[in-house]
Amino acid sequence: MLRFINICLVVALVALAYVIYDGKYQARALDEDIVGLRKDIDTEQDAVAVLRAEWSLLNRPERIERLATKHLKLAPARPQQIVTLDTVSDNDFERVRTEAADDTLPAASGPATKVKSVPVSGVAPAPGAPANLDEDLPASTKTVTVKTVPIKASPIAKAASSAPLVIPPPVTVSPAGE
Amino acid sequence: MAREPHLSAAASPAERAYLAKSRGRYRIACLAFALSFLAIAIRLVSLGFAAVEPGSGGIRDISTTVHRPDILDRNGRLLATDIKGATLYADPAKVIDRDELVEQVSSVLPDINTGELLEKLKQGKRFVAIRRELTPQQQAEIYELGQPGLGFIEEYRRVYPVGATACHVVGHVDVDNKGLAGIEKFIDDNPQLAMSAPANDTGGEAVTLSLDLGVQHVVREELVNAMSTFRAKAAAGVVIDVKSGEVRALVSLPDYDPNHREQALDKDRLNRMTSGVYEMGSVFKTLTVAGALDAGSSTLHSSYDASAPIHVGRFTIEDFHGKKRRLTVPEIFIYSSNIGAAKMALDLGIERHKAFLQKLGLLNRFSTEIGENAAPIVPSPWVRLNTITIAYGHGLSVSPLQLAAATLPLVNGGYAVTPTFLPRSRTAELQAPRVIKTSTSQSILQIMRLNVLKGTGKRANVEGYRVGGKTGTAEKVVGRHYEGSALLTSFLSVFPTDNPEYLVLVMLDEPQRVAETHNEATAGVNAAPTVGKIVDRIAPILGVMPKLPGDAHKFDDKVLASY
Repeated sequence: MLRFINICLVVALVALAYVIYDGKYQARALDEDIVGLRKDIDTEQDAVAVLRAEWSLLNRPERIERLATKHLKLAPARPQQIVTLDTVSDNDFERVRTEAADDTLPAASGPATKVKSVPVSGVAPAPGAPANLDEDLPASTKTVTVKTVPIKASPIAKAASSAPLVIPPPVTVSPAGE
Repeated sequence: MAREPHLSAAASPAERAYLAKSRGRYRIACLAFALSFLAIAIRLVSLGFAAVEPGSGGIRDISTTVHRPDILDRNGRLLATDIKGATLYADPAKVIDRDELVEQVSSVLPDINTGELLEKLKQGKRFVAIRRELTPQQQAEIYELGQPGLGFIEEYRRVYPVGATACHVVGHVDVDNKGLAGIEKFIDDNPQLAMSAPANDTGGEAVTLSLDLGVQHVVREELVNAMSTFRAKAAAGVVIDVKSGEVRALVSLPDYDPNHREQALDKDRLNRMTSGVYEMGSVFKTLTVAGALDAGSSTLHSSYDASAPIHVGRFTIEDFHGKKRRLTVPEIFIYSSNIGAAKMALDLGIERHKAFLQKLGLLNRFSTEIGENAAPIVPSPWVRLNTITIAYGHGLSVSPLQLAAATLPLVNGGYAVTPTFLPRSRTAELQAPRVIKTSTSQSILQIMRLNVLKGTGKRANVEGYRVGGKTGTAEKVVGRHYEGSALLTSFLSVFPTDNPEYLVLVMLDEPQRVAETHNEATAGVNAAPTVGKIVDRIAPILGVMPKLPGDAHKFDDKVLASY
């Protein structure tokens, strides 16, 4: 009887030892995973920082202004062109809408639907210029050739262009991630 | 440990005595084992609770530079950020073959000084920095070399994507990423600033400024144009929200690119808005008139004889745009009469004049988040002649930002709002102390508007935005004399005058007489039109609604005309 109990205890001890060692190794592997993931996150954050800096560099007001004057038929808004909604009556709106519709193809059913087709390819209008509602916009967008403007003498551009930025597959930020 | 009756029954008395004695030892031994197992168990539990040191997986990260918060403008556009770069170093103690190492490193970085590097390696220190700010590609290539003595340190490097556009406000950092000037220095001195601010979209810290990058860009561009058109030596401009005191734009030219920090050392590129003091000239008449109206020593209907120059000692005070007749207070202002302003200040009284300027904070050094302003140069003793000259802006040197700050209560209804570079709500004015009457502020706005409609500031008028302002043309002191050809012109303006929102101050240093201005060099032909152009472009950005006479605002073809 006593021997049976002892054997049982020894077996239990061995089993317990195995479970503990297994748990320990799993924990260590997870720790290593954490370190690796932290490092990956750091790398991603650094890459994001570089991209944000580059985004900001490419969106400098003077660059946008230069591109807008070159590629867009936009001018700064004049005071006459600024109206508040409460000064516009329904009649005014209808009149302008029908006039505009008369000038174009019957398919075009007013400025409201036109707004959708404004793929001005990343080039924002000059500061202060209102959204483009032009009737012949589709035609003008064809003429817009978006060149990649070479950026000279900027440290970020240098860092970004000379380095193929060791960025592993794009960051997929899902809110449901663990 | 149970009692063992079967033993005690058969044992001899000697054995029994022996057993009785050993039972005590037996208990002590059991206790000792129990205690030591307990100790081991406690230690194990405590180790289990101890936090595992992060990064203990063998990856070393010894970063020497501090991580700085991003700097954003009021609309969240990035003005300064950190990006990571590696620094290559060698540990001579671990190097096996120096010559081979130097040769291999120079194959990746061909422009390093091999002789110098070899010399440094021989000195036997534990750290020899070889190159800062490696590109990831270079880093990978050096890693491929597999040399044991080489290592990398990840370091942060500050970059300013917008370059020179906001340099005097944002400031710059030194090679170790410590703030040297501007907001960068302010952040170092006030670390709580970044912690209290909401995090940016990458989860890092960020500091938001009151600056508007769009407005900043327009002001800078127009000043660059003005500097080249009027061939001025320097230019400066500031846009401040009169209700909250937030600075929307501050430009001083020539400026520098904070990405190349060595440019900042050039004396000529200092921030003229805060670090230079100037005799600002006739823009001070705004303050003189405000002081006289507020104290009641003059009203808008008072008139002063400006037909003859004033003689004080060996000085003669004359008018530039002389009318040689009696002038009312608004006329003194719009014709910029030195004689009239001097007489108003004398009517106010020397002490009250001084006290009024003191109340507006013009006689003391003042500071903002981007550092202390240069101290004003105040005459001492302050005698009758000083009051006369200061009435039209000579004899008291202040920094332009300080003048702009002193003008805020004149145009916002009388509240002494202090300028700030950090976001602040427009209700701040209600907490600020009132220094002048609302009625005085109203009168000042009227005559400022009148000056743009009929006086020296005509060229600052902009369709729809009701600009009001005062010109200032000061002769600079060259050596010991006022030099008639070296001028400092300025235009102090506010818009829209019916409900003031923004103050614009522009200053040009030594503009020349050029063909575009019909060989004139006064503020009315250079500083005023510059303000006009700036207001025309920034008003839509700042959301100021234009007002036009009649029904020009009708919704019709005109509205769509320019698309």
